[in-house]
Amino acid sequence: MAVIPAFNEASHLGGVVEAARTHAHQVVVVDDASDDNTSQVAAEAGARVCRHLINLGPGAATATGLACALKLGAEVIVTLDADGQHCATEIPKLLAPIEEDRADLVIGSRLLEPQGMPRSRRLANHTANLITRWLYGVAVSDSQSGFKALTGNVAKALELRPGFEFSSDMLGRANRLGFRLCEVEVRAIYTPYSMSKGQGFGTGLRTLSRMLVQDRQS
Amino acid sequence: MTDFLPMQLGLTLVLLWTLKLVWGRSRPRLWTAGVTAALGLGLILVWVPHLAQTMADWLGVKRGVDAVVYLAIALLTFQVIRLHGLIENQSQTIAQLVSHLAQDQFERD
Repeated sequence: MAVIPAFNEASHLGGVVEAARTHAHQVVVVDDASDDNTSQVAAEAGARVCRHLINLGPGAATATGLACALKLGAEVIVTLDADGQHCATEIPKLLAPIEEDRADLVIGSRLLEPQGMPRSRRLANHTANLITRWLYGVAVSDSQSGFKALTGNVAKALELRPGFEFSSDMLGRANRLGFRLCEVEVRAIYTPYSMSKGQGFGTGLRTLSRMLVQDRQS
Repeated sequence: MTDFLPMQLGLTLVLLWTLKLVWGRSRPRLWTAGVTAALGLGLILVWVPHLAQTMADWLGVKRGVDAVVYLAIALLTFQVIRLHGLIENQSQTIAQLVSHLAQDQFERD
């Protein structure tokens, strides 16, 4: 099952859902209180739609999506971004370590082979990796990747943070709870649209400040 | 005791009003005692300013005014970080509530 958190993604979401449906038997889109017709586009593309009443951020949208997927009986869940940055064709690659019982949470790493990644993004991601290692004790090559696969047990055990810090927080909690983490190399498609949707410098600073004040043991 | 100054009266009113707010809220006793002590120290320093110099000597700071500024910055920084943490916790609670509402609606659909 695939989970796609989305906020104002009506222009690109249809294609992302349709691509995900070719590799996942169900797709859940969490509309994080979009101003556009994201929900309608997702439903027309064949996704089950869950809608937040107010905008909470990607972490909360992912958490809601995972909870909805569990309610639908999902045993393995793939999360991917709504901006078309991830290739749905790589979902099987992400699922392989779980199917082979080598991992409980698989990170689709854009930085194992960072071809095409803008230098600013590469620098931001390396910084985020260092902070994740320092604050959460997890050393991975792409702590901010939204392309992940996880088992139902991991999804049940996680309680995610609302903002962009959820990605590092998810890894920290999974690691602390003894789940097996692994990374597989994935491609990321950078377009002006996907670049405009990611974390900017200001969002990065806010994410960092939230990471610093949060109780990471809770 | 120094000569009466309007500033002293103003600061005293602000500190006493803050003290009233603190005592009017039900908070842990330790917290109330700590804030009362800090406000009490503030009141003493407002009316007996030369004590700030004694305090500065204890703290190893040259001037009394510097000691007051440093202490104020430290206390305000602590409060800002604490408030940031409280707001984050509230955000987390709101997020959980909204998420549960969305899930309920999802199940009904």
